[in-house]
Amino acid sequence: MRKANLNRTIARTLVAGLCLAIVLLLVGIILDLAGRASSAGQAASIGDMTQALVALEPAGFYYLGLLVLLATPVSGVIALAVGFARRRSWIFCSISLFVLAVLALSAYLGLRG
Amino acid sequence: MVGLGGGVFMVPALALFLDVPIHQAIGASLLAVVATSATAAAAYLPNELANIRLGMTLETFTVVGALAGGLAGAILSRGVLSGIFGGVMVIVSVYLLVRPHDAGAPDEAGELGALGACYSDLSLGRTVRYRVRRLPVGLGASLAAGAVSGLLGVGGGFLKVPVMVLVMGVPVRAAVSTSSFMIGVTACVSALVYFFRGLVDPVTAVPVVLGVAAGAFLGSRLAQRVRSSVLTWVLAFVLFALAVQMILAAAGISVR
Repeated sequence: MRKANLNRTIARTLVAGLCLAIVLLLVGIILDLAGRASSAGQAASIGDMTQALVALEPAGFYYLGLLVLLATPVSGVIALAVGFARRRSWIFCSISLFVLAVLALSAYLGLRG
Repeated sequence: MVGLGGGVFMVPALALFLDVPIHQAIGASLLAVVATSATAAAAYLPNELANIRLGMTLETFTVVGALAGGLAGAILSRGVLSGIFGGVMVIVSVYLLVRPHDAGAPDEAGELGALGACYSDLSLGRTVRYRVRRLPVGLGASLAAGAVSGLLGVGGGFLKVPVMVLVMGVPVRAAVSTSSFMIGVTACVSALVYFFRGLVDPVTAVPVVLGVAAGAFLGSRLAQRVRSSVLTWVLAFVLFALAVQMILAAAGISVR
């Protein structure tokens, strides 16, 4: 029963992240079709993204949508770590945290260039 | 529908027919694998087919491989990547034809161990129990699958599923479901490297992600109506033809 609940929590997390990402990408496409072309081309950083979002430019929504998509499996792993910790399943909690650490390392290495 | 993440078709389609630079094709493909995985895992997880404990244990080695593959892939030349990709595609096309089926009876030993699991199989009308065997081999295969995933922008399920079924004694339905959940995390590792290094072009990635999400949703419904054996043969043939074209392109020979 507890295992089924954890599985459902992860499934819900993944669906919520995917749906949010799709909505953001669709908003970007609608803005693109409405002729709100980005003055700065594509958003290349979080700073660019924020500016583009404030200006309602499609590039900001594309960047944020793809970022949310990338955050979806990360959220799933966080939910797993929490779920295993609440069940006092410390070995699998540690395994989830290790996977999370590698995800964080890859983001860091990507940002560092 | 056939248990592949789609990246193995995505990269050659983008690189060969739409002239998308291969690094951008790989970046878009990795994001597509994340979307496919979320769609598939959401369908499989509530049914308890996916073995999360086994998946996360294997993932410890897969993510390390994916990180190394992603870093290597971002700096390798177009020709080298195309050549490696063509070779892997040949292997996948053969895998599609000889992939494991639900033939062997699962190990129904009383003790399931830390990684074993059980699920209710409606098609068999009974509860299937299995114990996981030869974990070190599975961990090694996971490391290799992660490296291939990061290097080429594919999910790596074509490596993990046969090893889980043939070597580790996991029933094929559980293996496919577990792999579907894992490939999203694996692809995310390398996708983060590609994304933050600016190797993901939204013009390519956005339509690919939306198309793949819609395709994965429709595929899960069509799978019950289309004969998978026919589809598998067609896909294997198309993949083999693309593989030959990819290898020729890597050698500088265009046959388009």
